[in-house]
Amino acid sequence: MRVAVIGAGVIGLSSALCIHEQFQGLVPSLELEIYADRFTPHTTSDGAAGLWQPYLSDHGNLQETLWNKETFDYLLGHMHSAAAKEMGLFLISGYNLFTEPVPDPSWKNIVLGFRNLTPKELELFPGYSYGWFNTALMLEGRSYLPWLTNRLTQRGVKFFHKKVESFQEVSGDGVDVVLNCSGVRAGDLQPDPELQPGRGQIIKVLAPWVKHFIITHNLNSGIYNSPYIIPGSEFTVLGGIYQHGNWSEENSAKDHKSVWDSCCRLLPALQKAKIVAEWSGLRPARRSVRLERESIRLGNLQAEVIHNYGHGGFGITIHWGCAMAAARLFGNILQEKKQLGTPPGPRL
Amino acid sequence: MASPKVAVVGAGVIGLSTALRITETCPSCSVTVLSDQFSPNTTSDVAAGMLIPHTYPDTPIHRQKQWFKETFTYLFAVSNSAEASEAGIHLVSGWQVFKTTPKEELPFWSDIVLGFRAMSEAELLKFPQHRFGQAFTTLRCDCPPYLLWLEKRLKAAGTQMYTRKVGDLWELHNEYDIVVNCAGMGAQQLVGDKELFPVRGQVLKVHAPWVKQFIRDGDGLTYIYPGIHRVTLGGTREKGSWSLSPDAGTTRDIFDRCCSLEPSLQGAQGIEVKVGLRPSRQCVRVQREVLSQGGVKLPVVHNYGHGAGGFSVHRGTANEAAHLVGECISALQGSSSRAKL
Repeated sequence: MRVAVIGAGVIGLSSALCIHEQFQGLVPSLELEIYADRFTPHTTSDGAAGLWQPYLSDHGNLQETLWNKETFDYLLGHMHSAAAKEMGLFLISGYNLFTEPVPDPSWKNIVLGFRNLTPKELELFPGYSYGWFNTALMLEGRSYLPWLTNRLTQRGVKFFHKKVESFQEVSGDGVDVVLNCSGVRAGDLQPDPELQPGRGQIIKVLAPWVKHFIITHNLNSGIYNSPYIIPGSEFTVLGGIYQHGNWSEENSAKDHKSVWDSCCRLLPALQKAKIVAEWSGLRPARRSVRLERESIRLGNLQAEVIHNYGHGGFGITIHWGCAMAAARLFGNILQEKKQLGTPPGPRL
Repeated sequence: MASPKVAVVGAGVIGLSTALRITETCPSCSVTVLSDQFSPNTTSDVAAGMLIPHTYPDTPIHRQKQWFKETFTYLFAVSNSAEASEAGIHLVSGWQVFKTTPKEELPFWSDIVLGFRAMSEAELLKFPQHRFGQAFTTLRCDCPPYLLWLEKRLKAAGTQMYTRKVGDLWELHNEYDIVVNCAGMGAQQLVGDKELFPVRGQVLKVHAPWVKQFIRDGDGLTYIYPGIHRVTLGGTREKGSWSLSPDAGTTRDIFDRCCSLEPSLQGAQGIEVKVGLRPSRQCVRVQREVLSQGGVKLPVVHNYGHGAGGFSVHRGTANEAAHLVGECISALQGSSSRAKL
């Protein structure tokens, strides 16, 4: 049984690991291959700050909320392991700021210690009159992706550096299942008008005195179009750009100024911070995550494709829940092909 | 008295902050700081600089609360300004955890720190040996940056600073009108205070930049305090010990205790071991005194004995000491005008 995974961002690597962990013992002939045009540190996941936090509203998409919770609980369970540091995983607290009261988010009981901000805390943030404080997790892509890669390599999974132009390319030659984790460029494999880039631009600075994340929200301009400050283990990420439909991966001077000025207004101490890098990335935005099976006829062959893309700006937040869901779909395929007696139970 | 000459003995957080406050309340004063040690070699440099008050048994609680409130308010404003990074002042959130529920569930300072609340069951899961906890956000004065920032502001205000070991306050009576004694542990010898005793503390300063939250055991012995570049791991409270030499067994013990609270510290790098002697006393001595010798008077303001709580109350006690200096000046001016009659 050969499985081709397209994409080596957080979604591709974690889905591959999840499937291999669950099924390698049950399907001895299982061979996984990962194809990608970009590997860490050049993927979209590497540029993300890595903060676990869903959007403000799940738009009634309970499934995504459950996948977010599954991911948080899975990561929290790893907090005490020796692997946490290597994974780039650590606890972090911080602030979400608003100019008016808002309903509590779907994730208020998933994170730790969720509460409203006190008046004294709000004094720190002139212009914001309402907000939340909670403890969440950071999972830094530049550590997590290499960690996933190491786990996969240890398991004998093979990596191929190539841009896959079609499902056909990888599905011949005994490959029964294709796992499509191609992120923002999934449209190149199969047109999807619902998938659009949500362009972001960030500035990485040295500001080691910042110990909290600070995320502001402007309900008019939409998610991530308001300044945010997220301290990592080495650098602090300043951001606040979300441009729907913009495919440019070039840094824009205008966006730089917007991010810099608005973040320095939010946290005056940043004025003295040293800028070390700038980066633009394309969030794979979609109304909902595409996580489903599709049978594709390619010539006289039939391939099963599991789509797992469109995670917008919450890929890290939702990744493990989606990986588990993709693994369940894989289990169904195995059952149908009579490769398995009974499907595997839920894996904790 | 046109320009009273004030000598401040001691250049730790107490000496420097008191000197600075005096330059603010008495702009006509000429202030000089004298100390045998300056940053990075003071007791304050060893401390983590966390604003979590120590309770002094014999100082009235309302006075301790006032000191803490003034200190917190002052530093809160600095943390929110462009100077925050240079001053080494930053907010930090975290947990204080208890193996047994404390008698006093609400410490006197709970309404001064930010967002104080009991920890949730979910948060306590991270600490299987602990049954109760408090979550809050407070401030840290990272040293040396904070002391260096105080020194910079003192220089800008025209304060002179000299490395000098003062053996006896009377040494200073010819050059200075008023002496402010912020000598910390040195006050034991300087003024013969037998109520002052050292409480030895050993700490480790490690590189673990992924640690963003503080964790403190309510017994005060084990703590993890993230600073700007290093995380301070502690500690010990050895009453009566004068030893400034690091102890290897203690280092191992501190590291183990901290790793049991935060396992990821196993991956910490670059361990530096430091020792400081907390200048401890049943109550902080903030007091005026007029020394007298052979007809000569020397007004002294004492500001020492802050033990484990120096950073938490430093601005408050500096305010009080500066006020007492003002009283000394008035008294001197009163007596000098009487002398003129």
